[in-house]
Parts: sequence; structure tokens; C-alpha cells
Amino acid sequence: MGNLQAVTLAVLLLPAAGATVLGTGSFRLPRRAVQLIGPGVVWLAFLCVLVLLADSLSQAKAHDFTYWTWVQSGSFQVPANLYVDRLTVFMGLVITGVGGLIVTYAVGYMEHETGASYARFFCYMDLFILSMLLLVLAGNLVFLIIGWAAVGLSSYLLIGFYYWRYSAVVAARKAFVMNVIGDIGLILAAFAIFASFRQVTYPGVFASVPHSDGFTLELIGFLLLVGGIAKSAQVPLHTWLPDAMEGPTPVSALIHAATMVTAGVYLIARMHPIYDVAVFSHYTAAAIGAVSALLAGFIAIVQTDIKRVLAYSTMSQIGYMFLAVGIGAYGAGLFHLLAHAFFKALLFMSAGSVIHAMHDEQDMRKFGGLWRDMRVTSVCFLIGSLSLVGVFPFVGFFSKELVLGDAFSDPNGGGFPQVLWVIGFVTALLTGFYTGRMWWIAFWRPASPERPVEHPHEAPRVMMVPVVILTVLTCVGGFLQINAGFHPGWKLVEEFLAPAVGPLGWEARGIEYLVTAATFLLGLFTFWLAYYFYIQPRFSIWSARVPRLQRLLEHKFYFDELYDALFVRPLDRAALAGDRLLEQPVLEGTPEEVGVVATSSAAALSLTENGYFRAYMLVFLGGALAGAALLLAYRVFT
Amino acid sequence: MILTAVWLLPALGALALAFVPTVQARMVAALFALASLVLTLVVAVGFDPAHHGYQFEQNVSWIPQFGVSYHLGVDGVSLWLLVLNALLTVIAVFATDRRMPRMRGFLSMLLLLEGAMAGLFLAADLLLFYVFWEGMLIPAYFLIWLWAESGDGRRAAIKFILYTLVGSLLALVGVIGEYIYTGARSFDLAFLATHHPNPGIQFGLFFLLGLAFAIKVPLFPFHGWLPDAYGVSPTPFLVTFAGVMGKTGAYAMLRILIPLLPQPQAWWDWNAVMPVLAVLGIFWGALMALAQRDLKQVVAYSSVSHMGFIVLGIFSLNQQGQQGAVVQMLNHGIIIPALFLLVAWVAARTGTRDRSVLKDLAPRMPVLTGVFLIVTLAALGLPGLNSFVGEFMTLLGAWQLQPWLAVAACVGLILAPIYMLRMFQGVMYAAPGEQLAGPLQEAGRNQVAARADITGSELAIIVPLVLLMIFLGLYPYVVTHPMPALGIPYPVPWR
Repeated sequence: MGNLQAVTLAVLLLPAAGATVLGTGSFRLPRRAVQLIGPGVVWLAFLCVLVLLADSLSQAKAHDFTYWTWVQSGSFQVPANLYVDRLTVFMGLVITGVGGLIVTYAVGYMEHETGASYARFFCYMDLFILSMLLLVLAGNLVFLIIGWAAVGLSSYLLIGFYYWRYSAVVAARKAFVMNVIGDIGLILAAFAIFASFRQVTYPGVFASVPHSDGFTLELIGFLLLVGGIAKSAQVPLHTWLPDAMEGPTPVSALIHAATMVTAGVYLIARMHPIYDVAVFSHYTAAAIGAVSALLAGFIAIVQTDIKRVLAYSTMSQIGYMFLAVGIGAYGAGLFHLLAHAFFKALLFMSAGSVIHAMHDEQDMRKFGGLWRDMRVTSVCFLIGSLSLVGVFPFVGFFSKELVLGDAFSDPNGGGFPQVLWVIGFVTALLTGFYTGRMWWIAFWRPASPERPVEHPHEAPRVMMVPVVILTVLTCVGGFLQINAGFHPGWKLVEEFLAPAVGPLGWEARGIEYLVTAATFLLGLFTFWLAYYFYIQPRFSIWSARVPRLQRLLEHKFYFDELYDALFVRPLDRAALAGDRLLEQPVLEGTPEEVGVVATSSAAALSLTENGYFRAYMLVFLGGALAGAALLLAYRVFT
Repeated sequence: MILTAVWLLPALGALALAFVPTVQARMVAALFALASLVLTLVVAVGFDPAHHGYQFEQNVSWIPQFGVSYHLGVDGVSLWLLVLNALLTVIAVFATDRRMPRMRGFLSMLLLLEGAMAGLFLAADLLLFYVFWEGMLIPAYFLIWLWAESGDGRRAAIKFILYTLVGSLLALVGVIGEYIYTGARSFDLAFLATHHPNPGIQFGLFFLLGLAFAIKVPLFPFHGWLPDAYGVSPTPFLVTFAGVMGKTGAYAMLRILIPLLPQPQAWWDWNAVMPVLAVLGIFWGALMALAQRDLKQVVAYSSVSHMGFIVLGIFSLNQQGQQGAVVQMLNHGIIIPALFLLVAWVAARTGTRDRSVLKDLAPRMPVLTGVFLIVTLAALGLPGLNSFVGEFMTLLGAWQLQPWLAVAACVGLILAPIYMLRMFQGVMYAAPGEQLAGPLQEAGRNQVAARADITGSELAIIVPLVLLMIFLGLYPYVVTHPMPALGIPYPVPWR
């Protein structure tokens, strides 16, 4: 085993060891040890990823490390292999880097938990990091599925962390089942791939793509997409995501920002050799992304729980990433993934500091006055918000404009990317508005009379440091790739990723600057406009004027109600009805019924033995006549 | 010779128990069970994956007039089931409560069952196979009837015996028919596998034999005996009953139907009917599991659903599906006993198995909760744990036969987390409408002691199973590697 191969394995083994130790020793471990092991293993994994980064910077070639044979059955041979290229390293950096900050933050955030629960939380967090790393390191479809499902499991565990609250229990199960639907998409895709290529490793599959027919590739593309949208909470498999806010805040940050929901984006980028050929499924991904971005933007306007606003904004931003990778602008999509990891983790964690200070109150209408009382957190949150809106010079500006610019200038697809661009543009305006609403209501406005805490305290240092680091990253991260604003500027992210996902297929156009400026200014304008809607009511409350729209948005376009009516309730009803009508009386009653039938039929037959000669004669005659008639009929008809 | 010892040793143990005092019965039974486990492990270690044909063979002429021989052999299919059988019997013996009434009789029946099932897996002669098939019923009948833990044991036992006897008698006709219509005057499986009657005869024989096997599996819609039988059976017996005996039906399909009757076509093709029944079973079992309130019944119906995957794999008629079925037999044999044990332990602590009464147990039994969680995840087929391997391979096989079969079977994969998690969460976590501020500290209405976690001996019983779930999920190659060493030729060869 070469050095690099061992380092790659260590990336997985470190969090695995952490999770195992924390899981099995949760009752005996001293708190100090938990605080060291939990984040420690993630940071060690981060160091290992840095080693991989150093290697991939020196050369662009991918590594394919095989460790053992997972299973073999005839031609179905699955090696336990890990695939390391620049895309893997990029994702690994986001997962362990931002993930490490989040786990460190959790040391402070979860301080009120009792001993066993505290260790349990870090066990789940390490498991989550492990799963994500397995997902991006997997070198074949089966291991991808294993990582994929393990991510679903750890999010289930984290969402349901407060298992003494029924709402958390249900939310966890919902997320799990939704994710299983996605897993099945992937599993079926793997079947289709194996059935046509007889391969399941990435290099093998991608080598076979050029020899395959279009229908197969489209089928594979669509099946993979089912997995992608379930994990990334895109329409129509998004309903688990807002409920997932039942988990503790660091969970939300992990699930949303750094890792889980970006898995679908990674999947499409990873499978780009397939999607580059399978045009329909590729554009479907882009369309789903655009629609999700828009719908989520609308819903975010009426949410009152600060974490839910952020949750819907996440769904919306992931929609941008889907839009980008769906039209083949992989570099832009992944750059937005990176940017989003920075600023959304920042937003969630500063919101977490606020919630922490407010004694777990999450309704932002009951906050207010935070600009005065929690200045540092407010500044951090403002920077995150402006980045989300896409304001220069924060990282969100560069990445979002890159996504929109690439869609705007895409010459392929007969105008379709431009339609998507329009949706993306409208979403950008909505983003400005709901972000502004959140900022003005929660932070700027004078303290609400319902505020639970008179004098809130800033977060302890262990929580503050990660927030500040992310703030800095949000401020400077955009300068990794400035070509969205300054053309021809450098584009480090795109160039780094190009060997793994291919370069952008077209050149940006000059007119983009105008568009960029318009998006940026109008986004900022709507941010400012929200002030006049919610703080200084120059305009009457819009919801009072259109109550029907308000209701539509508050019910999140009735997706939950629809699924409840279509699947959840009919399923339970079918189960009970099936048990009552078919299972118990028919399928399980059989032997007794057989006995009853036997005795009763015997009793019935014995009635014929009545001893009357005339009765026997009658039966004999009837039989003879029937026989003769049959014989006649046979003669006539043949 | 070693193979004779493998099935005879537990049977001798059953006999020996008659001569030891009750206080030592558990120890003696454990010794015999462990010794036969060691024997099977010796076989497993000595097994040569590259060899074709039966290994450790023993072939003695038994009734030469009819070509019946006492022919034992082990191959890639039976090897792991043999080990599973021995392992689960050890676990069953250790899981037997010291207060079990008529302890000696119970343990000797357990050992007798192990011996019969081991013989079944080893038989390389059709009539010998049938002898063990019937022999297996006797201890099972008494175990259900006399040691029923709840409800009407007699009724369940009669139902079980009626179902299986119908199958057995038809199967006997089938066995004789096979002997007559191949015209070769031999019951040797390897020989029969190369001499097939014509498709019309195969069609009839398939019905006779297949029905017996389908009842034993059980395959939908012949599963009526299962909920009652599983419901009343004492847990230690369930460990081998659900863990191994269900597999004997599937094993018989793979050992007899597939190689001996490859073309059962006349009015229709049985090979096309079986996968449809399997998919229906996957769906129906899962749906019924949703409707149950008794934890034991949830597990029982989940078993119906899981067995559907096995049959689906067998009748996908390709290597991935059939080997996946064997893997799934093994995995299911590891998971189902663990589930029944956990349910029994929860019931012992709370006095009820009713899902709608139980709640909030996690704070009081955190370790048990953790173990239950892992087993639940394995049962719902979480990728990375063992059950996924078998389900993936059987479905892959089904996809290659007919993609829509795999798609339809996936409904079962969606329902599994619903019923399994509902059960697990319902027992361990907050009940509907409950929004507590923190974990429950004092005993609630369930009359459970504030701390009633898993005991050391219980942990010792279940940890081996849990470790196997994890290990086989990560390295299933261990299991599939020796499989192509088949004793008798298959229509679709395994390579």
C-alpha cells in the first residue's frame, strides 16, 4: 500500500474511529475527551485531505486505490476502491474544513447536554463526516450508494437527536424515508449501468459510455437524478428539509451548508460523462434546480422561524447549483457549492448563537434589538446575509454571478438556459427580499416585548472563533475566482476542477457585465425594500391584501398535504383494510376453513344418500340425459 | 465421516440430555451445540473454493433396490447455511431462560431440530433429503405446542402441521414421480440434475415439490401459518425456527427445483410465476407489517417480506440473483433472531409487546436502544450492513430478468424503513404529541425500572450477531467466494 493510498484510507478511518469510540464509550468517557475526539478526528482528516490536495496540485491525474474485493458473483465484481481526483479533493476540503469548524462550534453549542447525550451527539457528527467522505471518495457505484445511504442515516440520527420531542422523531423518519426513495433511484441506476456495461467502477463505466445507446444513458441519467434531488431537497422530494430543522443548530449547518444537500450537485458533476451525453436528463436537472430555487424563494418570504428561512434559502441556493451543473457549467456550480458552504454555515452558526442566547427561541419575530446587544454576531450575520444576496465583494456575489452569467451566455439548448437565467434572476430578487426581511426583523428592529432574554450574551469563544473564521472566508473567498465580475479575471476554482469535470464549453460574453450589475443592484434594492415593508411600514402589509397567496406560501404550495393525501394516509388505510379483509379471514384462516368445508360438504353430500329409490332414479335419468346432450353437442359442433 | 458427525452430534446431544439432571441440562446442551459449531467451522476452513462437486463426501448404499443411498456432501450453497444453523443453535441454547419449564425436553428438541436441519443441508440424495425434511417437523411441532409462550399453542401447532403436511405429502408424490419419470432408478441429486423429464412432467412435479417448499419458506400466499406459529413460539426456539427453518424451503428450491426441474412449462411456465409471487410477498409482507401492533407480528411479517427477496433472487435464474439469495438467507438468518431476541427482552422488561403502549424507553435502556437501532437498520436493508448485500444482488438478478420486477420489489424497500422505524421509534422514543424538555428520568406508566438496560449475558448473546451484520456488510466476499464450488451442475452455471 503506497503512502497516498494509506492517507486516503486514513481520511475515512479517522472519523470512523472517532464515531466508534464515542458511540461505544459514551457513558464512561470524560467530557474533556469527548471534546477532543469529536472535532479532533475531523481536523486530522482535514490534514489528510491537505496531503491529497498537495498531490493533486502537483499533477492532475486521478488515483484509483483498490483495497479489497467487496463482492464477486460471476461478472459482477465490486472492488472496495476509492477514487481520488480533483473533484474528490475539492469536496473533501469542504467537508472536513467547514465540517471541522461546525463540529468545533458544537462543542460550545451542545454544552448543556448531559454526559451520554453529549458524546452521542459527537458520535453522530463524526459518523456524518465519515459518510460524506465515503460518498465523495467512493470509486464505484456500490460504495457511492453505501456512502449515500450512510449520509441519510446520520442525518436521520441528527435530526432525531432530541428524541424526547415527537416532532423530531417524525421529522427524522420522514427524512429517512425520503432519502431511501433517493437511494432506490441510485440502486436502480446501478442496475441499469451494470446490465448494460457489466461494470460498476467509475473508470470502467465512463470508459463504456461512448459505446452505449442514448436511451440507456437517459434512463441512467434520470434514475441518478432521483437520488440527487432526494438528497439535495429539490422539488418534488424536498419536503423533509424544513422539518429537518428539528435537529440542533450545528446539525442544520452540517446538513445544509457544508455537506449533505450538496451531494446531488456532486453526483451530477461526478457523473458528467453520462450527463454530457444524456441531454434530456441533464436539462431536467437544470429545470428542477431552477424551479426549486424559485419555489423555495417564495416560501422563505413567509417563514417566521429563523432556521426555516435559512432552510428554504438553502434549497433555493442548491437550486442554483443544480441549474449550473445541469447546463454543464460544473465549475460554476461547484464554486457556488464552496461559497454556499462558507456563507450558509456562517448564517446557521450565527443564528445558532442567537438561538443559544435566546434560550432556544427560534421565532424571529420575538428577537429584535440584537444589533445593540450582540454586535459581533450581528456583523457576522449581516456579512453572511449580504453574501447570500450576492453583494460585492462577498463570496456569494462571485459565485452566484458566475452561475447566472454562464446560464445567460450558454449558446446551446436553443434558449433554454436563458429561460433558466430569467428564473434565476427573479430568484435573486426574492433572495434579497427574504434575506432583508430576516435581517431587519431579527436584528435591526428594536427588541420585541416578547423577547425571552433581557440581556443576551455573546457566544463563548469556542463558538465565536469558527464563526469569525467563516466570516473571513466569506469576505475573501470570492477572490479565488473573480472572473464573474472582472473579465478576464483569474478563475482558480474552475481551473483546478477542469481536469476532473472538464472545462466550460463556451466563452462568456461581454454583455454579462450589465446583467451582473443589474442582478447585484436589484438584489440589494429588494434587501433594502424589505425594510420599508416590515420595519417602517410605508407599504401596507402585502399579505393582508392577498390572503390567498399568503396561505399558499404558508402551506408551502401544499406539497405536504398532497403527499399525505396521496401516500401516507392511503398506505395506512390499505394496510389495515388488507389485514382485516384479506389477511386474517382468507390467508390465515385457511386450515380451519378447510376443516369446516370438509365437514360441511360431507354433511351436504350425505343428504343425497336418503334411501328413496325415486330420488336415485331421478339423478340417474338426469345424468343420462345430460350425458346424451353433451355427446350430441360434441357431434354437432365438431 | 465428519458430515455424519455434523448432524448426528446434536441428535446424540438430544438423547444425552435425557440422562443428565435438569440443573446441568443447559450446560450439556451448550457443550453439544458448541461442539457441532466447531465441527462446521472445521468443514468451512477445510472447504476448497476451487473444487467442483461435493466436498467431504460420504456415499453409502442404503436401499440398493431403489437406488437410494446415504449420500452426504457439502458445497458452496450449503456451507454457510450449515454454519448458520450451528451458530444459531448455540445462541438459542444460551438464550434459553433458566426458568424455562421442562428444560431438558426443550433443549433436546432444539438439538434434534439442529440435527435434522443439518442433515437436510447435507443430503445429496433426494429421498434422504425428504427424510430429513420430515424429521425436522417433529421437534418443531412439539416446540410450538408444548412450549408456547403465549396464546393458543395447540391451535398454532396444528395449523403449522396442517400446512406443512399438505406440502409434505404432495412432495412425497413429487419425489416418487421424479424417480419414476427420469427412468434412471436413482435418487442421487447429481444424477437427477443431468437427467430431466420432459417439460410437461416437470410442470407437474414442480407443482408438487414447489408447493411444499413455498409453504415452508413461506411464499405468498401460503404464509398463513407463520404469524400464529411465530407469535406463540418461545424466543430461543424462534432463533432457529425463524433463523434457519425458513431457509430450508428456499434452500430446497435452490437445491432441487432449479437444477432438477429447469423447464417446468406446460400450461404456463412456473419459472415465470414464482418471481411474481415473490414480489407480491415482498409487498404484502411489508404492508401487513405496517398494520400490526404486536412487535412480534411486525417482525414476523417483515420476515415474509424478506423471504420474498430470496425467492425472487432464486427465480431470477442468473448467478447474481441466486447467489444473492444465498447471501440473503444467511443475512436474514442473522437479523431475524436478533430482532426476536430484542423484542423478547423489551417485552420482558415492560410486560407488553403492544407497540401502541410502549414509548420512551431509550433513556432507561440506552445500550439496548443502540443495539436495537443497529439491528433495525440491518433489517431495513441499510447499505453498508449485511442485508443490503443480499437485497442488492437479488434485485440485480431480478433486473436482469425483467427490470419491472426489480422496480416493483423496490416498493418493499421503501416500506421497510417505514414499518421498522415506526416500530423502533415508537418503542424507544417519544409518543405522538409528546414534547418533553429532556430525556425522561423517572419511571413512567410502563412500569419499567428507572434503569433496566441490557444485561451482560444478553449482550454476550447478541453482540456476535451485531458484529456479523457489520462485518458481512463490509466484506461479503468471504461468503460469495466459495459459492461457485457447486455440488451439482446448475442450468445457469456459477463461475
